[in-house]
Amino acid sequence: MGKREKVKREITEALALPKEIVLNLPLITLYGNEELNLENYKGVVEYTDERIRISTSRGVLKIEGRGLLLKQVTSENISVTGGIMKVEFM
Amino acid sequence: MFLWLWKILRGYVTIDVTGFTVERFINMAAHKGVYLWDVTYTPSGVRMNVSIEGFKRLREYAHKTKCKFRIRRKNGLPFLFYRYRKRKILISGVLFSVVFIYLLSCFVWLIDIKGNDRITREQLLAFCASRGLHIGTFKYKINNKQLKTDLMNNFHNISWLDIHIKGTRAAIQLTETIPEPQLIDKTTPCNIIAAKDGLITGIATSAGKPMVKRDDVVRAGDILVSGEFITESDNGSITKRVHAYSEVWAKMYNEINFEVSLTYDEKVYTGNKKKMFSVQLFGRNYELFHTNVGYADYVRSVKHTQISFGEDYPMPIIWLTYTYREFVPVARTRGVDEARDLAEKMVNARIIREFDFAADIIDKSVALQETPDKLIVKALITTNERIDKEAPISQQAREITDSPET
Repeated sequence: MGKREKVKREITEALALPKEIVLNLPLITLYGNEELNLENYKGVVEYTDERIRISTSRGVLKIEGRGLLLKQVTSENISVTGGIMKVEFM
Repeated sequence: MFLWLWKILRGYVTIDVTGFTVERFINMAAHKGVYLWDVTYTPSGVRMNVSIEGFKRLREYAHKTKCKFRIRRKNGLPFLFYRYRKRKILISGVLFSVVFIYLLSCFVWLIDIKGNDRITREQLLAFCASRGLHIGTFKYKINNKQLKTDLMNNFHNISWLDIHIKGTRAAIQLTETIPEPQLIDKTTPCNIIAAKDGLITGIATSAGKPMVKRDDVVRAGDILVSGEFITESDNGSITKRVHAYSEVWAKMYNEINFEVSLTYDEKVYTGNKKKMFSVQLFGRNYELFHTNVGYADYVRSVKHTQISFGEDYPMPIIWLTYTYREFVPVARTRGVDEARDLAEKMVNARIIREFDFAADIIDKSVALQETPDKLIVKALITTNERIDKEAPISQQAREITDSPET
């Protein structure tokens, strides 16, 4: 992590700014095991009904489950529904 | 719900995408601002929904990512319109019904009155009708303020009134004033006469000359308290008249005679029923498939249902359901004890119904006489009630007495 990045992080934390905007972090919202909402993603790497891989600024997010489907796909936001069993950063 | 409505209105296409890198196709479309939803995985590829505008741009992305797509289904209104574009009568029918419903909603089809007690609903409706608010009035023609003022001026016992027209319903809400105390007109001379026959039990006079005393028997129409005073003087007699005021109580006997039959018919419903329908359009009844009822004895009940679009748009269409329920009169007999109970109940009911609320019931004796097929009931009710009644001293009588002999 560069010095510039570190300063940015400290300011963000001191002022309690939303991190996903200032630091461009992916924001993951999980509703139980049935819906996952991901903001600030880069792109879909793999899509099948049992495994979805989505690249983000902090690496690739792997979602495993059963009968997964992409409920909505827009340029900032992606939402996955189905029986989610595993969420993992790779 | 709203998102769904929006999608249906704008139209969308379900497509099947096949190719080696379907993910790239999704990414490209998403990054270019095409909204994709319900992306599902199928063995051959990926199925997704896309809006019509987005769909037009997909060809370029498919070409770039070497994917192929096929239209699976077209959904929504734009496609429906396109399919039916040549069916002019259908389209004009749809347009006509929309315009018709709009036109109907410009009239008042229901007048709701709340809060009236002494003023009857009919009086209010009749007055409103004379000032231009009746069922079927064009609602933008109603002058709310004027009508409100007119109503307030016409009915003096309204203390607050509001007219509110929402949709096709005109709601009139009002509050009545508390009843005015009855004013005693002390300027008109009058006598107090007996309203009924009875035995005087008490007399309390505050104006006038009492003509009767306690324990006197009076007949209806007798003068109880006179409003005339005649004073003898040197010049003859001088008559002075007042408005007599007195409370006179009297005891009286009231007889209630009736019979309770020991046999009676009971309505035994057979469970058979028939329903018939009528529709009332613009206040006129149209019978729909009415046939002969076919029952010897039946009870008819009617149910009104006014067709309404939501709370505020009642329409001039009233659906009437007539239900005919068949019954068979079955002869029953009741025991003497049962008849006695019934007689007692009927006596009490008649007392409540027929006697003045202010009357005191002093005594109640019920004599029952049994005969083989009926019970003869003779009830003697002794009451103590007010019998005083004002009777103006007639003009003629006054003229005679006004001119003393000279």
